[in-house]
Amino acid sequence: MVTVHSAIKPRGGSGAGEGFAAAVETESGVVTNFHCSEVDWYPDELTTKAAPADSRKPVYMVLGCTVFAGLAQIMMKYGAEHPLPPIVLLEPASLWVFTLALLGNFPLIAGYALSACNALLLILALRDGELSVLYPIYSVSYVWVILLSMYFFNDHLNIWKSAGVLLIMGGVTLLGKVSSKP
Amino acid sequence: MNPTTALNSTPISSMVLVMSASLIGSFGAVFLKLGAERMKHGFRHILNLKLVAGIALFLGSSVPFVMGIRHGELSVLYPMVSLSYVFAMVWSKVFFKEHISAGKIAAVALILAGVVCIGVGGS
Repeated sequence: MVTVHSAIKPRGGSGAGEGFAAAVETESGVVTNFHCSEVDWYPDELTTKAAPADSRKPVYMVLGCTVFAGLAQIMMKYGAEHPLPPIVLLEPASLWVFTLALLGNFPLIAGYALSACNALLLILALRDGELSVLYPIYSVSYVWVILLSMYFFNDHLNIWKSAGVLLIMGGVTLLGKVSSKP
Repeated sequence: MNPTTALNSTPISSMVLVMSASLIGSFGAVFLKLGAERMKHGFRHILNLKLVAGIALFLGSSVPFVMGIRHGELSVLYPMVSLSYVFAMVWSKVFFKEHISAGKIAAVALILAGVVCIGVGGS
């Protein structure tokens, strides 16, 4: 006699119910767990184990954010090298000159555009993740600024900066581990 | 530069400005999170007042930051910027009832130490 334990739990509501998972007990008492590959149905334990993979996603999204944030800072530094003309009160023409100079300052515009991408990605990450995990991960942007400044501005890496980079990476790795716990 | 000199050559006003920038920034993060949670009902909820408030606070925090960082030593001021991570962790406990584990505290301590090092290396 073969007993099928119905430890089945629906996952999602898409209704593609061809897949299934079950524990089968044969006459000799051997229990075999199996599940169909195209599953929309998972036993309880599988659903809880599937959660960590999901909870990592916002972490990677914030890491992506930090790349945008680092690049934005580099661009804004380039942009700051072209000083903008002053706005003189009671002289409307100076406002036009200022606006034109602002729009012509490509690195500055690029910096703001990158910041906008960064904000959007951060918001999407915060929707699904914990603030206490995601916000400190944002500190990786320091690392990108240091690395990108070495490339773009020939800044040198000293012992303190390298130690700082390593400590931040250590902290963020730890946060990543914390976030993967259910 | 040795730590005492760095501390003495940094005006208190700069420290206060930078610390208030990190406080404002941490509230920015809280409002972004509040606004982001509304988007669970669909992407079109991206236009909501809480997100606008969050972005405004983030942009607003850069004003005291730039003013504060103009004078004084980065080795003193940078760690104060990263206080926003500590503030944010307190707010996530207070406002979002998130669990603050020992791992999270250790991680933020490592990050703070890292930012201190970067501040020292940058000045």
